[in-house]
Amino acid sequence: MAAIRLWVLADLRRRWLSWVVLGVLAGLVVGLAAAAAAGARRTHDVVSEYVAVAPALDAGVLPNDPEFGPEQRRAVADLPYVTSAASFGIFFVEADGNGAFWPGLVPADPQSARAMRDVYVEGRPPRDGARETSVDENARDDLGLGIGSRFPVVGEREDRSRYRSSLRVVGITKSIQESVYNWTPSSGFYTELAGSGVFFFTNMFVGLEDGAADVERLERDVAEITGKPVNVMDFSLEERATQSSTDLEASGLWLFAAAVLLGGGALVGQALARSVTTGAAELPAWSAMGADRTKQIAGLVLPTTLTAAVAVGVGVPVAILLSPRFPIGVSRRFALDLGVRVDWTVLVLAMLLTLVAVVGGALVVAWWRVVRGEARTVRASTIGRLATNSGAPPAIAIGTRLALEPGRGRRAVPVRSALVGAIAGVLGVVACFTFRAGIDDATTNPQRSGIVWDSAARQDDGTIPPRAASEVLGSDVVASAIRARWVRSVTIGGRSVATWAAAPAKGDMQWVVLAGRAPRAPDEVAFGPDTMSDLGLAVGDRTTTGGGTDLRVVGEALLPDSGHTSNTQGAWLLRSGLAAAQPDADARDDGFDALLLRWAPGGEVREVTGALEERGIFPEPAVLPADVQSLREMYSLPLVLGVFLALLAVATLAHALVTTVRRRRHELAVLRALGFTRRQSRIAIAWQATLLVVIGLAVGVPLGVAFGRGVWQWLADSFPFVYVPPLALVATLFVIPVALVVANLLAAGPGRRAARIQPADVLRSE
Amino acid sequence: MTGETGEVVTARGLYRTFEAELAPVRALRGADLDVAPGEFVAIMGPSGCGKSTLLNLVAGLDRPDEGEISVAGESLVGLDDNQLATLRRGHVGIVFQFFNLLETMTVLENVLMPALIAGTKRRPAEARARDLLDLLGIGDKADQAPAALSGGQRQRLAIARALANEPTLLLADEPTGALDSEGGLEILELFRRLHAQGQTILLVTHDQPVADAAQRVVRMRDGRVEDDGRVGADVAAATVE
Repeated sequence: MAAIRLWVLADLRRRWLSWVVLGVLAGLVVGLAAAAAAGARRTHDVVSEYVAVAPALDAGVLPNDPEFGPEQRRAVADLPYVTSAASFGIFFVEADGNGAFWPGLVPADPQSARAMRDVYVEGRPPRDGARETSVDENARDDLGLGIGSRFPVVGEREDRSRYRSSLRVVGITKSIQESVYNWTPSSGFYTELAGSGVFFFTNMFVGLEDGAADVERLERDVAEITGKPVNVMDFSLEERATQSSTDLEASGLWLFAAAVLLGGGALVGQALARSVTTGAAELPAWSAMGADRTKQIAGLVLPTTLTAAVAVGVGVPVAILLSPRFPIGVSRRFALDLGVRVDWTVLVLAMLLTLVAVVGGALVVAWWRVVRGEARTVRASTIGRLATNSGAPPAIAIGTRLALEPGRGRRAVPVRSALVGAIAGVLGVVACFTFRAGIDDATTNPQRSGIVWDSAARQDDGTIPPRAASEVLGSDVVASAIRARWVRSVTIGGRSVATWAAAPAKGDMQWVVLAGRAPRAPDEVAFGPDTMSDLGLAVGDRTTTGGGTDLRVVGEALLPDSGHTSNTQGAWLLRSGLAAAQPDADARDDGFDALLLRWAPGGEVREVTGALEERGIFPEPAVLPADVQSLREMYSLPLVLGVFLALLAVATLAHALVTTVRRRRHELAVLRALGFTRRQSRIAIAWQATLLVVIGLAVGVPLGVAFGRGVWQWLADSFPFVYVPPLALVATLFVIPVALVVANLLAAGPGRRAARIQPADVLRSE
Repeated sequence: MTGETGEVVTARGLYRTFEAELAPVRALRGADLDVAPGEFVAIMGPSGCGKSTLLNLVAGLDRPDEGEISVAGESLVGLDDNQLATLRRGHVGIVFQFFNLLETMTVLENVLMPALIAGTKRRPAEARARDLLDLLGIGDKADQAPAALSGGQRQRLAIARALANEPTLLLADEPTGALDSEGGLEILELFRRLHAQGQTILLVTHDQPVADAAQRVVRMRDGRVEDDGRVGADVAAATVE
């Protein structure tokens, strides 16, 4: 034991800095991965944590109609399953002087104010009756508002005269939406507005006994109370969409953490392997002194406990210090506390993993080295021989051999691990750029998400009048169009399925088919992927409708978002198919008509939309699904990961070059004795670095593209959207010169050291 | 190629001091040396007397703090590292005690390398290298790694490498120091043969039998040449012939 102690202490005295540097690098890798993993766990919980403190309201009753008066509101509040109700006036103000109007939700009474109380990050809610308001974080940050500042309220009366007032800001509420400014004054302001002649209307939020399950009957009852259909917003849909976005972000962070561990682990691991192997040069001496295999392995492994300790010592604070950077994107807006947070579960696991990985990895390398021993002869590399024998300049030949041939004993340089480092670095960077190109592609090409139209005109009450439709479709501005009807419920396979019936109205627009094909006959159906999975069906299967019609499943497709169903939900029939499955589909009021329009280039779109708007149909520009939009929030993740892996690769390449010059100085000195000039020594090291990077690029670029595409395809399938192989051509081409320049810059220092070798000193001392 | 004096090596008043941890080591304190063309000179002396330092200065691997030195008629004083390297390519071949072979290269490549560094075309360089290997009796080992050779074979390879550029001067630092007696005799015989063919050889040793093989023995002590062996030169020459 004393001998091993002496061995380890001697090693640490000689190489403590090297072990510490490795520990710092490992700590940075583990710290970043742990921070991302903790961020992922935190991300998963943000929505539920927010909902727990946000007002307990399940639905919005939004008639947007001044006739929705106190009696009707009371009737809604008195419905047996309504557990809470808050009435509020919607009042638009121009507060930034730019002509943009923002809605303020003005509580109608103190009870409503309490029910609507938002999440405060600063200050307090407005007092009943006081001329006070709260504004949200967006308003605070963008408009420079703060506690105590005056919030100008400028509106318009029914007689078109200006109404001006101002309220004192007493609280800042949490913003959960981007670029939306919310302000909520005291209930006293409602009374002031009511007497000011300003036009506004009053809506309601309600809490429901069974939450989302009560929304459908609420819709029916409200229609009965008001005598007409009223827009009832189911907040659970929004919550589900948000949860879906945050789940995606959590998955992204898990992926990020895994990539950091894999990429960083490969880069730091090869440096660790190199260091352990370096210690093995002493083995013959220890073996000669009688050290058995156990002692030899212990002597090689124990110094790495310093690396593991440093890694833990660095990793824990790094993870904690980075914790305020997470969550990211949408989740960040919902997070109630963005400060430092210690996730002990992740930290303890990460640190245990670090210990096991560092010491275990060293154990494997040491065991391999001790049991297998060192190769008795040094094998020359084929490329090295080729370089020597092909008439390449001596400096190039030597640089090639330095890059590819490990040497023996004290002069051994584990070139394989340096090559692995170069390849892993390039692979990681290229994969990150490729993945990022995928995000770019999906978020800038709506057709990937099935959105093949530019604008959707929707008629919620009944059908789009044929004359209006003909007028629109006859316009040159419309390049192609689909006329569709959506119905909330068609019984298919014994289940209620929201169903689209579509027919091309102009041109060749077709919804995006992921598998199989589009329905072509009345007895054919395609499903959104989620619905297909819910029904347990696959392309080629057969199913039946509630009316007894047989249907053949011919495809899986991305369908339009209906407001109630996403692009992955629902069924797709021909109009004749829908008529067969549900003869009264056109007459039912639980559906709507839609015209999906693709504009011709350069057309005056307003002409067409105006024709529809005159009939009360308001075309809306196509928007990406929220999930896909939230991918933008992850856009920076691959970049951060790429930069991190690039820096690690730079560090490991530098380590390999420095090690080469230190351990091969004898060989370099011999070459100098044979007539090598200083310049040739420098060129040899520069070429060594260049060759390592060239091999890294040759192997890493295609693997990186493949890996990046693989991960992107996995994401595309899990969304889903249409997978188009991403290629970050510019970035990938940019990586090549940058890697070569960086390699040569890194080689400059070691090259200078190689050039300064005094052969007489080196050859004498050895 | 010789200088105005007709000598291959001329060294006058060489001083060289190394900085050491406790005190500076004054390796050379005014050493003088002349080596004539075709001469086989052995430098002898106790450990630390400065023999290897003198050899390194002659090889241009090190620079004197003071003094004049010329090799093959070219003064080494004032030459930078690159010029010294160029001079070595043309005029100096070095054999080290511990061989200093390029372990990752084959036997043939070790001999090829100095010629390639000197800019010789591949084909003539290889022909010369193979001739040398045959001459030194290791022609059949050309494609093997140096590690596969015995100690004597390794030193013969080192000599072949030193001769690759047909140097004016062959320097050898304790060439038999790492060999057994049989290997040592083998190498001495080789040196004798090379000398007989006109090769100028300057050899450092502290081994009398090795020195006895030389034409002239220069004795050093405390950084100076104590006896340049000129008196016994004729006798030694007669022995060789």
